[in-house]
Amino acid sequence: MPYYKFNKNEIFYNTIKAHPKVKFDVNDNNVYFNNLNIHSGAFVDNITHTEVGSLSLYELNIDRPSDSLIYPFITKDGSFEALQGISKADYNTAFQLGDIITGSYPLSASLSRERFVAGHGTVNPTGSHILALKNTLNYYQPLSNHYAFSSSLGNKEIQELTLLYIPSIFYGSEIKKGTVDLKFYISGTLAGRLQDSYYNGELIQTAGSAYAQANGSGSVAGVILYTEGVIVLTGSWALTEASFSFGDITRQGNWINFAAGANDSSTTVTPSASFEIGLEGTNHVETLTMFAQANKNDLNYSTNRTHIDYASHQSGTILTGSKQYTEDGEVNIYNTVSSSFYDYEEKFKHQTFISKIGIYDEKKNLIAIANVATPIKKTGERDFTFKLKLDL
Amino acid sequence: MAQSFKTLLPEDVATTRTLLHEAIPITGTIVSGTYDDENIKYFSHGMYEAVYDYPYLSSSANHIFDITAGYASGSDFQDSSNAQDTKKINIYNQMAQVLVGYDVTGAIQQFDVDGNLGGGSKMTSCYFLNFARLLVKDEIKKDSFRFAFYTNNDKTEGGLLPNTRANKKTIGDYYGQTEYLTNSPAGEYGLLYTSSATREPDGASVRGHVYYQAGIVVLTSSVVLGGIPTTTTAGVPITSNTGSAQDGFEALTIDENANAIRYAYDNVDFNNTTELNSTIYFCRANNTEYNYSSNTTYLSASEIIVKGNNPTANPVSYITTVGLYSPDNELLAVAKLSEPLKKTPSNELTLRVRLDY
Repeated sequence: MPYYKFNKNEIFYNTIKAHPKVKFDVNDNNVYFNNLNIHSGAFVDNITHTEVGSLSLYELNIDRPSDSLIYPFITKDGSFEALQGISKADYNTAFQLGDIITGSYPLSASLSRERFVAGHGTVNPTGSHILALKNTLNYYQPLSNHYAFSSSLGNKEIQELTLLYIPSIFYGSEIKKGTVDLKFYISGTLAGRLQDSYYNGELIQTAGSAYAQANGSGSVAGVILYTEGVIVLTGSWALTEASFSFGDITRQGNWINFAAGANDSSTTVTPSASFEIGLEGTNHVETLTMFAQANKNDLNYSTNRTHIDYASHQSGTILTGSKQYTEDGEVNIYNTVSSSFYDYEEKFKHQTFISKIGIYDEKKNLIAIANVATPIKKTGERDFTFKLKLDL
Repeated sequence: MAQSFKTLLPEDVATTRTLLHEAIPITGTIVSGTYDDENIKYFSHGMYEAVYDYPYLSSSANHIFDITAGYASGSDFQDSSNAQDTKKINIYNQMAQVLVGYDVTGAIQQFDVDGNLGGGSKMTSCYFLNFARLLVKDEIKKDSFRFAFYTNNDKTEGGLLPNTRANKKTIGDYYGQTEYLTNSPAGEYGLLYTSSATREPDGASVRGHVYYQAGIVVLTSSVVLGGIPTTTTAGVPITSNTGSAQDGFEALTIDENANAIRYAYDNVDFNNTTELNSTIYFCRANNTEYNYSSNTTYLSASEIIVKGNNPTANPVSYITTVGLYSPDNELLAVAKLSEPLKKTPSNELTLRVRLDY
């Protein structure tokens, strides 16, 4: 079995950019992710133990009853390590060194919504999530003036607005620009649609009912923080002529009411209202590509025992003695060249079938094997390049 | 940002290792019964079967462990007329060469009951439970493995159906924390005893081994005292068993032996371990250091804003970020504080920056 060394032009490191599609539907205080519903099992009503529309981080406790769940724990020592949900104060006071600190699974994530009433910045001058985004929003102002925390287009500290939080487990590194699509339905009819048509983070109303379009066609109803996974909705024009209940308020539907009921502790949201959020994420997958060359007149011999003609091997001379065991050096290679004619044997040609390629490290340890789907016929006249790809 | 570099001295850098654990219960209802064996995957080669925690055709299912069985060539149970004789030998050899290794002649060593490879009794016919890395993580925590199962299944009682199983035993690595063994090429392993109280000096109470890093449990065939059930590969136990473990090893296939273990199984409980390796950098800001910022917002009309138009006031700054640089001043990592820390000549700060890997 011959070894060949990859030269520098035969190994490449690439990054594949993948864009997984994500769709959330919000209706009647429920969030649905990619049209998945809950799945009931033999022991629990929901095998993942998460709310519908949520992703479980490790998906370990599949269909386990509550008394036999896998859970994490750690022994308190000097490392200051704790588990999620343990506050710094609890860590310092409630546990002694050597105590077991337990956590629980599943760790889940889902779309969530937070609405800020008008004047919220005055009522809650500190600790507000929208205030925490001030620097981030201003950072993106070169993309659009609508990002500005305070400008002639509005002051996000005091204006009524809604934040939608999309955890990064759903979209990866960042939300792909130009793919964000928000749809506001009333009784199954599209009332309004927002898209980031200009790839600059502005969410522009591009479609909707005649009433909604008359009020806000082409207007910017919010901005999206692509890397942070936050959508800021400020569009306050009416999308519906009638009033509906959107949790804590009843009024004509507008973009601030979008996604009402999405893990926002809303009490009652009219079932007529449904909301759809579509986007594409971005995942970077590092890949290693290797080109394995099988040149002409190479790899025409196999160490597989079937490569030798059995009859020839049987009839060969084997020398044995106290100091030697020597097989016949003139054993024929089995002729695998097939003929199209009946009872006719083709002339011998070197021919092998490549079925797998082994990848070795510098110390000739086998570290990977690439199998081909069907064996590749290799003759002296043929050369091949095998492209091997490995996700890192 | 202030460009004030400070070299980290050896005493400013510490490495730590934290052990994070998970408690893993695997009840018998998962292994047999609940899913009508739709969570058991059989293979055409018939050399082992895989157990999932949910019907394996579901994308939610997790592989939890494999079960197989084998015996040594020339052992009491081995006979060329046995079902899958060669495969049982191959399974035993494969597991033994990985977990026990070779002797000086290059021969595969057999599993030794008390772990002393120099002599003593050998486990020549064994059941193997290979737990998935998803559950084992870095290793099984020592003295945490407990396996409860039914050892006696009277033929007259109609097999190993749950309501007829008898003589429940729990084996565990009760002394694993202090008496684990290290003479395996696969890492550390502990001996499985029938209880913490009874331990006979010659290893007579040893029922198997648990290999902590490999996540493999080896059970000697004698754990099944009274009998094992005959089961089909469809997973349904036949109403009567065949008698002894020897009968099973001789007459049954590997899958059927694995099914026997599944139906004798009551509960497995262990804790896994994940090692978190960390380097901690103690970044010390002494009283006269880092009290000034080169941030452009720090000055307005050549006056330090945060000093409140009082030129005689002490300098003050707010630390928000710590940058870690390579020896040639390349920024390698950035540590952010949850809130800015006020730094004046009257205070000193030590920022503990931890890097996990």
